[in-house]
Amino acid sequence: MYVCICRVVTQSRIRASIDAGASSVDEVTLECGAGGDCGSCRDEIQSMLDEHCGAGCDHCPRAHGGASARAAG
Amino acid sequence: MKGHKQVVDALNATLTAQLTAINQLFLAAKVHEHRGFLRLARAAYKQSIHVMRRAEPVIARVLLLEGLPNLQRIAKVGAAEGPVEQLSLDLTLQQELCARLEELARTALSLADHGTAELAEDQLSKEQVYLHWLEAQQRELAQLGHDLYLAAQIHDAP
Ligand code: FES
Repeated sequence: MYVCICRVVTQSRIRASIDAGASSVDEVTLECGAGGDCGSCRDEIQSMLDEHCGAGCDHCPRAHGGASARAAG
Repeated sequence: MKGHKQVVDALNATLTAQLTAINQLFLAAKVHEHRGFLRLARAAYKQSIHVMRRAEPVIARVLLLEGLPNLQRIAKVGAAEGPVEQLSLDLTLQQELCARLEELARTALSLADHGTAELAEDQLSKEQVYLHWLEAQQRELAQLGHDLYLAAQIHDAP
């Protein structure tokens, strides 16, 4: 499905951004454009990030710490 | 006639679900039409227009209760890459609209706003018709498989 209608970005394209290391909505926007217009898809991009980072963040090579760090901070 | 804030809020939440449905189904109808799935196009188009008509008494009720109808807020429009996925996004959308109407009826009843409760229940019974149609499509899909199901969507027999 198209998560971002304004910039015509699909869910799988956003997942690819996240897999490639984007760790915040702004980074996803920079990488593929999603979320850069009206902003109404940003919650959904955030949930995709949370989902990605919720499980097994201990093994995640990225430094952001994922959902648990955001909840704590 | 000053209404309860909770009722006005619940009416506006219903309006948000309606506006989302109007747009999502209008888009879906045009995409189905473009791809040649005329039966799906017609069903989505009709429902979009029906919901627009049903938004009118909701807006009128908000005004009657001295609130401001919120035509600004709209939820995420579900746009699929293919027709089968669109049907499941439309099902989620319709479940949300029915849930808002149920909530509206409950809130209005608890505050003895019988006019609003009656409006909500009347609309709920109409939205359930489309909900059941969408559920039937899921059953047909499961029985026929995607290819046969989609082949049956090309011709529109009104
Ligand atoms: S839907 Fe993504 S910015 Fe508008």
